[in-house]
Amino acid sequence: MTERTGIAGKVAVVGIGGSRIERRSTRPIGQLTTDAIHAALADAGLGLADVDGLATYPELTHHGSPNIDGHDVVSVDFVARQLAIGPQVRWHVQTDSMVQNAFVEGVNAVASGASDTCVVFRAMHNPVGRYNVFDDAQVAGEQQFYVPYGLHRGYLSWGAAYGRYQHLYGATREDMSALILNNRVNAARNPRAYFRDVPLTMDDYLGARMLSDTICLFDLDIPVDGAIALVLTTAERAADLPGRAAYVAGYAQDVGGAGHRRSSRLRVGPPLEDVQRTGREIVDKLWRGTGLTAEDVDVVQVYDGYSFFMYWWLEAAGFCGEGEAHQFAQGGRIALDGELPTNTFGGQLGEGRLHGIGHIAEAAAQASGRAGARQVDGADVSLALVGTLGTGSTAVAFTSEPR
Amino acid sequence: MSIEPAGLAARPVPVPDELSAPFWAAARTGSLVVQRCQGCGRHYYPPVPVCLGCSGSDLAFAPSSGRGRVTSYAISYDQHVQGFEHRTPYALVYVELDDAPGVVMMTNLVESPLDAVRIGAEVEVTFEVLSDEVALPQFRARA
Repeated sequence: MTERTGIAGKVAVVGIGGSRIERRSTRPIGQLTTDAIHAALADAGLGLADVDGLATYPELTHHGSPNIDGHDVVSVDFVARQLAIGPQVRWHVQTDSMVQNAFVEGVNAVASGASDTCVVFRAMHNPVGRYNVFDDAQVAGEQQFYVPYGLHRGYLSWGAAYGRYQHLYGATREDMSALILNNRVNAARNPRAYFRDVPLTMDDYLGARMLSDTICLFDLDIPVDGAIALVLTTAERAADLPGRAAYVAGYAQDVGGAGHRRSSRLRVGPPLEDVQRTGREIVDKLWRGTGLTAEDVDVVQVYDGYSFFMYWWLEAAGFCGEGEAHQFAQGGRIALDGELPTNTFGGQLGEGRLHGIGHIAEAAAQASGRAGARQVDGADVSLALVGTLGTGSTAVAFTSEPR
Repeated sequence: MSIEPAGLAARPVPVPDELSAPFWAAARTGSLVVQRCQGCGRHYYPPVPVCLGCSGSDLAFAPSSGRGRVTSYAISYDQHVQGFEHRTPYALVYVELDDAPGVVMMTNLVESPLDAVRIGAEVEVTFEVLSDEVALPQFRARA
């Protein structure tokens, strides 16, 4: 049954901009963020004076991060002050559960009229020293049930579910290398990508340092300094702008966890079956809300903060059956010229750890014909599937025309 | 029960709170307890303030046999938590308890060679004392 939501075709992404993405920038990420916003507005053919909304998810998910605005996080407050647009901003929000939720709120704000033109941005910082080590002597809250077991980084908790995936379906590291290499090849066509000039071979992948029995360095996105901004406005206003737009056909999100309903299982790395069920439920909601199906999709961006999320999103969306993505992705099927071009910007594994905004930016770029050398010919329906297939994870569908 | 080797950095010690205090207090006496809704019988780990099944708040801790099965695992070769310098590599295992349906504990498998870790392995609880207040339940292969 189709249950079309009221937002279809009302909101457009009209500008996309990014800063330089570097391992460690000599410039604070506050400046990188304003770089990205200026670039996105220029791309849209708009100016700062047009912005009346701001949205982000500012957190750096890094233990012990000092939360210095403009240094390791960038808030809407920081941006409003730096750009001196506070007086004109009618609406703003900071969300939880990654930036896709800020994007969704931006869509809602424009659809409702709360904002006419809003900027959704995300800045990420790579702190000095080892990334994200838990070094406190005590641990409180929910973390008391997993950190004492040496479980702090998600590649280990979700990695256990990946180990079960490999066990159940016979997926190998050679299988995964096809997705990793696809990302890296695509990154070469993304001027923003951190790894644009760094080719990777299957031998490099198979020979990389193992962090666990199933995960090597190249299964993890690389922490970077960088920012990406998107400009959203109404479909009416988009029609008057010089460039093409990507229209939001709809979005769907998980809340409450389809998988762990009626259990108190930890949200950090739930069992494989919970992840699979939640993913299916998110994308089913998207199909019901938009009237689209997997067959309609021309190009897809799947979250790859850890490589194995790509399998789970491809399966959740129904591009292949459960347990089949490791086979589905072989033989060039997900390449730029393949049947289902996937992570055409290189994914986070190729572009850098921008925590989900890269996927939304690329999905919008493809639907609006902005993807340059990596543009999929005739891309009409473009999907971003972002998050860990748990609470807050989101599917967004863009179309090249409002509908 | 085993105890932390002398002179080595300790792993982070849980700070019991209003919900978790009974769990840690029982663990300190060598007993694994799991929260159970007195209304509908559902089990919870970590403990919850309100039952997710029947919305009741009559929740009590009941002893578990501490026996279960490994459903997933990861062997970590990397160290990213203080106190694991001398434990790495180590086995993170998901354990489903025989007598607490729906519960999945993320825990460590100890006292076993790492290459013996298997999905489906039958395991039992064992405790490591971390402080005067806290002993940490972990699991070992069942004979």
